[in-house]
Amino acid sequence: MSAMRPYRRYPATWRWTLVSLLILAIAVAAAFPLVWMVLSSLKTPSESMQVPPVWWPGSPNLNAYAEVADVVNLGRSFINSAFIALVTTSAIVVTSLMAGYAFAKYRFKGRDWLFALLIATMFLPPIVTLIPLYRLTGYLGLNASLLGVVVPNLANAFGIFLMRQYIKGVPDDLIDAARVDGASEFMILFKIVAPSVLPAIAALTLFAFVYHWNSYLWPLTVLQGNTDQYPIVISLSRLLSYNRGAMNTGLVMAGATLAVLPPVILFVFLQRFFVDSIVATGVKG
Amino acid sequence: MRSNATIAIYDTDLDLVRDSLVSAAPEAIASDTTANWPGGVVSAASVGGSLYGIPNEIDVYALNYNKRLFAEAGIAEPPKTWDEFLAAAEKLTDSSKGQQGFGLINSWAAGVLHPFASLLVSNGGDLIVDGKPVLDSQAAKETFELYEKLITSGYSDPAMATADANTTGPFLDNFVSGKTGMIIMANWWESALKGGMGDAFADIATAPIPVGPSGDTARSISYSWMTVVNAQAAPEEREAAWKFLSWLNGPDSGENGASAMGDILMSMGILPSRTSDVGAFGQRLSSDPFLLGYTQTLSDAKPFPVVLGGQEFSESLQQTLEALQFGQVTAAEAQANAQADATEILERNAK
Amino acid sequence: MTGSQTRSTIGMLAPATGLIAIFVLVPMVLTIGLSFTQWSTQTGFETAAFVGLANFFDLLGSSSIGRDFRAAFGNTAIYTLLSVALILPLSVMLGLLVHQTFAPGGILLRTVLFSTYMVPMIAVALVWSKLYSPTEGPINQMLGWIGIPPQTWLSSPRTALVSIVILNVWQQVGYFTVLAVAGLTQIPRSLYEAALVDGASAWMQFWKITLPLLRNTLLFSAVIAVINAVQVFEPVALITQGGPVNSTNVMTYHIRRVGIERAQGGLGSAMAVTLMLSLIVVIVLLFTLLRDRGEQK
Repeated sequence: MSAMRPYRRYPATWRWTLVSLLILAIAVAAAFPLVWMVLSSLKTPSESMQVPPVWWPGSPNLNAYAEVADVVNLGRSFINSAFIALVTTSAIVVTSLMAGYAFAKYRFKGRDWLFALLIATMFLPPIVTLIPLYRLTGYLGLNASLLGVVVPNLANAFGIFLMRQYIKGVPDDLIDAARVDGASEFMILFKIVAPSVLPAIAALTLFAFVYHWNSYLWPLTVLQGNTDQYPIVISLSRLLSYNRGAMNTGLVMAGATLAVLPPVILFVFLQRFFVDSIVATGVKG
Repeated sequence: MRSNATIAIYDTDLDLVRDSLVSAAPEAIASDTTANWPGGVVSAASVGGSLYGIPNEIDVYALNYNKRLFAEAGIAEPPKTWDEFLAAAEKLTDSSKGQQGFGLINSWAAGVLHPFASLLVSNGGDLIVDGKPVLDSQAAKETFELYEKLITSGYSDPAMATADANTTGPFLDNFVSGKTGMIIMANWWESALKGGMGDAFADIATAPIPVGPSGDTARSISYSWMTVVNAQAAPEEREAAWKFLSWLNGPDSGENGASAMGDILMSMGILPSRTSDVGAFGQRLSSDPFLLGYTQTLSDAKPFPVVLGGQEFSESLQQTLEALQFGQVTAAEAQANAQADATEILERNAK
Repeated sequence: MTGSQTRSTIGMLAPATGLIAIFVLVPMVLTIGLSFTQWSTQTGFETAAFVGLANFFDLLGSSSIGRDFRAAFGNTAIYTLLSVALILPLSVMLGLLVHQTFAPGGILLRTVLFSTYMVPMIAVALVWSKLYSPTEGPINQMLGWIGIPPQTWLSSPRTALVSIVILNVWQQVGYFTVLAVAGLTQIPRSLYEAALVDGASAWMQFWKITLPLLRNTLLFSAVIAVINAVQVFEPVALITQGGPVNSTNVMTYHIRRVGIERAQGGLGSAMAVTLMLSLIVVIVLLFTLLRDRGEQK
């Protein structure tokens, strides 16, 4: 290390140690709740009831995982969550690419005005529209079904904003050349523009997937207690009630661990794009 | 068994009637239900004299107590009156061990309300009579004062009373771990206690709610579930739905004169409400010592009142009770606030 | 613009704008309209009866409607204020730690902080309700090790709301840290080098260079943090149900309870409109206070 940095301005060993320790301490503290969650899922029921709390499971076992699958219909909930997250994510990527392309590369009357209107919806907390939306999906016959969860979420302003930011950076020459060759606009979008904004697509995929995998308020409202259609986060929230027979903390933590895995795994793979996209939207915007 | 035409609801969800979403039962089914269910349960399934659903599950409340703690405190019998109840609570309270005599519940509407309502009816009082709140009664005054006494004497610690996620949390943990001597809860938490306590569950016994100074006999509030029929289904669908429900809840669908619904409920450790089901399962009900405190009180139970705006009424009373639990208001203020708010809420919702 | 250009513009825009119009803009307008009516959410819009400003008067009135609403509004304001006040400084501090190349571990820290942001709020609420548990929870146990008596956390009206703020900050701070890092990377190194030549201490550099140049980032962070904070729902719905004594009743929870569970659609809409207007005021204020007016240029 020191060979690579010959210009230390002052002896910094103690500072180096201090900062490293600080980073380590913060990382440990930040990870603690999740570590506790996983550890608790491996404890026996009596271990999780002990006072003072036991930190390390005496005989770590996966019983809670097997049990939790029976208490709430975990398999079905996972399929429901996957359906919700995958359908919304793919639709959002496509609709955002299209609209983002139009806003970035077309000139038309009222463009900036329309764009501003859409962006404004980004700042609208979902609760503001929840009540009429619930009735609206009722009119469309979507309530109490998974379609009701996904249909209002097939497009969003954030996706359009993100795509526009990235597509603006695609050289016009590239697009014009394709037009001269007679390519249709859709061909241009999906064959030329989309491949050159792959990082943005990756970031949006992660954002949308995580958001809709984790989303609770809208599914809870629109599904009207139809437990067959519950995504994992709602099934998880039901674990804490007695009538589910799940007094056991280990069970709850096992369920939570399973629900956390898909978004976190996706994050580990796509982390880089995620961070870059935040830089792009947060600063350049 | 699932049909789009039927919906399972709690009796207090009868707001659906106002919005014409559930249909009234046909005459034959209404009279059959009236004949075969306890009066209180039938009234809980009716609005304006018409029956809207067939009742199934019933939840009543009882005093749950820890026999080991009772023995340590030198208490021989579960309390039958409020005086005995307060005396027991005093003996069971030991702040040096973090032990409270009686466990209140907060941050969960039903948990807050039902112990209070059960004590109130066991003191001869009511929440609502003829659609009007009667929390200004002497019986209610005494119940608010009982709560105040539990708090100011330190027999109940509100910080030990919190419920998480509806039905678990510190209030349960404290009873399970023997830090709470007595608590009032519904029959359906038996499986939770067993799960949490293991062998120590043998220490738990139940008894009817202690009778207050203005009361005559031990009573409980009761809550029932019922199945209703969607008024927006086609007429033939509705007819088929009523027929199915009548069979499911009737004496021919199960074994030994029990209904199929009764079988299902009993297999889940839940009390059925049909009179003939209670008879058919008599043996099993009386052989379960935990359920004893509940079955004894079944016939004297008073249904939680069915009114438009019932949920808002409950949540408002819950808040007042929590304010009392945390010493933010006195018993007299709590009673005045509760009655005033309830009056305004029920008048507004009846419009 | 030629006909084919118009067609492709419409073709490209139609799916996204159509969906957003139907499922965001139309409900938005409906919310405003319904706020002037009495309407049961269980019935069609045609049953809404115009009542003028009656719902808004109720929100200001002395009945339980007004008291509960104002409590929820106040709780949300406190919650938002505390969240922003904790998140912004933390994000800058953590951002500096992630951004610095002096000691190792920056990327590790970013990964850990950001992965908490991926965790469903429901799981966060479940885990924290156990961490906060007065007797079985590790937080009070750890406090005990350093001689601090057990805290009530979610079990007292004095501490419950703050406890929810803390779990929210834990979940969100990673996102804001990355925003701060993004802001830090935009600051030209030459400024620091010049400051070093002038003999400015690290502390002075932070106040004279880093913080002023992070202004836009902090403004953006503050707006997002406010919007996120008013959306808090899961921990309240799952753990406290607004209690004890209404101390954690927040707007999203209260509006849903009134508008969906109690089916008082008109009243719930009036609450939603009030929330939206308040948000606009707050965001405008933030822009006025924090916007870079260019005076240091």
